[in-house]
Amino acid sequence: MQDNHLLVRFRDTVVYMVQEKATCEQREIERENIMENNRTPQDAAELIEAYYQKGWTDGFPIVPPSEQSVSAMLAAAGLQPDQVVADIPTRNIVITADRVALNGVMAGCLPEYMPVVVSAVKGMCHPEFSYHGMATSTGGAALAIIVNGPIADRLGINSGENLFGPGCRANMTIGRALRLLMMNSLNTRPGGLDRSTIGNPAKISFCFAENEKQSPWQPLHVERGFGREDSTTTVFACEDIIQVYNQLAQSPEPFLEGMADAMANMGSMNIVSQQDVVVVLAGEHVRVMVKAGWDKQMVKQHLFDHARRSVAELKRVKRIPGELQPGDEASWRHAVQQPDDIHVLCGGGAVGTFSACLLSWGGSRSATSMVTTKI
Amino acid sequence: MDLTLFDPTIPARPESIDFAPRPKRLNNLKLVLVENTKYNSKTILLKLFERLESRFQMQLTQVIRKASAGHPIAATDIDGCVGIADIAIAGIGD
Repeated sequence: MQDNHLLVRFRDTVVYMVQEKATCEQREIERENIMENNRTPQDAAELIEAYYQKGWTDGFPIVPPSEQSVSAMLAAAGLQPDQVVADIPTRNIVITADRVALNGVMAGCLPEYMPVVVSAVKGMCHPEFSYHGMATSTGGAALAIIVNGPIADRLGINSGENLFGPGCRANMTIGRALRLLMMNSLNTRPGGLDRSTIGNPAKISFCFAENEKQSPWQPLHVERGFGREDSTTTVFACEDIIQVYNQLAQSPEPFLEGMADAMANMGSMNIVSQQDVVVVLAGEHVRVMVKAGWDKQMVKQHLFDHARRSVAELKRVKRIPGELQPGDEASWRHAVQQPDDIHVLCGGGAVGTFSACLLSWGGSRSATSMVTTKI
Repeated sequence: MDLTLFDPTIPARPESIDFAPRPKRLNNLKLVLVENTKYNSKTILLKLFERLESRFQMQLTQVIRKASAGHPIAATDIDGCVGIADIAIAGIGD
């Protein structure tokens, strides 16, 4: 038996346990521990190394904060250092503005991004979002931050090509600021209170803006009760990002049926939990909808009707319990409970035939809810 | 360049919890199960109750279902246990 394996006997049952330890910790390269040797870092490289040694990074190098850079972040949001931004009762932690600013600087944010970061922190700590579950779960939920309103253009938050990809400082650093705050300030560290079995690269950073200029429909924040000139963040516990490809469909139905199939995939949490789904339609697919005269409600309804599996299928693959019953073949479970649980928005490049659905984390409908917060 | 290390952590607020006195014996206790919406967790809880019933004659007085595994148990559910529970067993994990 290996060192990290344990056998625990409970009455007549022997439980085999593996004490988890991230492989990267076991293979850490030997180097001088600057902090343990009480040595002041001599240059920027040593300072960055010191943050690694403290465990205050996500694996990438951080930008070392200074009094000036933290003050600039606070000033940009009109906040005092000890001002309470939010709290997480289940963690007994109160988040103050200085910690949000610190993690923001470390993530590489410009001061102007701070109001967006603060808004997303408030959303993440809202009771309806229910932070603890998505943050700690063995699932691999990313914290998706969707930005709407004029601030997206003003800060250059990407809503176009490579929407979920690299290259845009605002997208990358705002998302990273939230994850660093989760890790450093809320103890949501892998192996600690983050127990993802396989994780998800979007956990490092996942922030994008809706392409409101490309959209023929109401943007997400207006649908959720805000004014078009309001700027908002919407936080969403995103378990899966599935790209949906279709270059042949010239009418909505065939393309949307492919999207519905992705939404209702039998390995997803969604097909059991029936949580909300975010559908991001990119340029060419949006034009197919517009050309056919489809509004957002028609898109949602069509997706709802087709994103489903029979109870029999789900029982056969053991996604829901129980023996097959008469009627199971004709009894349907939809990926969401109603059409309005599908949030359709526009984003991505104008050219190309890829769109995406973002499926939710959550073992049950009540596990988490999207939260939209005014900036 | 400022070479100061800034601490981004936030210590959790300490909280004292008054634990209920532990029962001296397991026989004939009134039991409440707190299930966390996970199928396997509930299965284990009910199997555990079967054994406690047969060995210690415990009575199952209520099964409380949390909002989700990530939610704490509702305060009203805790209040509802007064008078009907000597002990409670909560399911955690999947």
